[in-house]
Amino acid sequence: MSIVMATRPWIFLIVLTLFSYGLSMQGYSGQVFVLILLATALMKGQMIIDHFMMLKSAPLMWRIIITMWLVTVIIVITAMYSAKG
Amino acid sequence: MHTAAIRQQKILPGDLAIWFFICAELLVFGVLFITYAIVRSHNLELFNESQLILNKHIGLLNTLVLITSSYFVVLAVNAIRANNSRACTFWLITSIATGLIFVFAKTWEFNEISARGIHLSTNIFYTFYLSLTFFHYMHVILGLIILFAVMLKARRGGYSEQEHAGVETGASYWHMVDLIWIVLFPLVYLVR
Repeated sequence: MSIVMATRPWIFLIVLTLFSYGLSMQGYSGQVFVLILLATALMKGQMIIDHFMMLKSAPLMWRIIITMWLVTVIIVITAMYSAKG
Repeated sequence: MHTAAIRQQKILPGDLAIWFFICAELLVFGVLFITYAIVRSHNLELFNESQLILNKHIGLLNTLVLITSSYFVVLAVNAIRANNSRACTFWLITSIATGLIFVFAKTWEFNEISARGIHLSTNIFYTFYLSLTFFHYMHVILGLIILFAVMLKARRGGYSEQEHAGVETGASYWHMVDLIWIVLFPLVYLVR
């Protein structure tokens, strides 16, 4: 992976982190806020899996296993927060 | 043609064993995250109120630091794949240095919370918060020890373009620590 290919996800991760933090500092709460924050975490996690862990260029099974962990955890957390959030 | 074909092969970075270890670690953290969400749904007011005491600025700093440290590790892997041991060592040192910022900031945060008289048995939120973040903190420390050992070997010229599984194995563990924090940070600090 070239430096440019590695730098792009890093910049996206920084921007998404600042976005989540900024949103949280505005004092928002509720289901829409929960959905936005967890969707952002999902995007960030996928970037780490694909570009930092380099699983995009690994056998598909490993990319699926780690992605499934991320998706499952985020979906269950979202469901629990939506139930009473 | 042959070289191009090899490059196009799908190869898992590092030793296979580390990926089974990573799966086991993710499973444990996954269960803890889901348990936190379930318990929170039964103690909504307590969790929302207790969460207000947490220092979001430190949480942000630690997230930026871990992401950046992971990025430096990617550059270290790139360097050794290009047979550049010196650059690999440099990027590993920078990743360890940024990782140490996490450790110092988190230690300060634990001290701050302890000074407020908050401990594991204060309430169920703090039981989860302290357990989850301390468990992750221990993984950060282990990750730094691994990166340090890899850095020492890279400095001695122990890795090359052909043989660098150790660098990729250490890198994969460090990225796992980052991945876990990416879920832990919004879950504990931000989402309410």
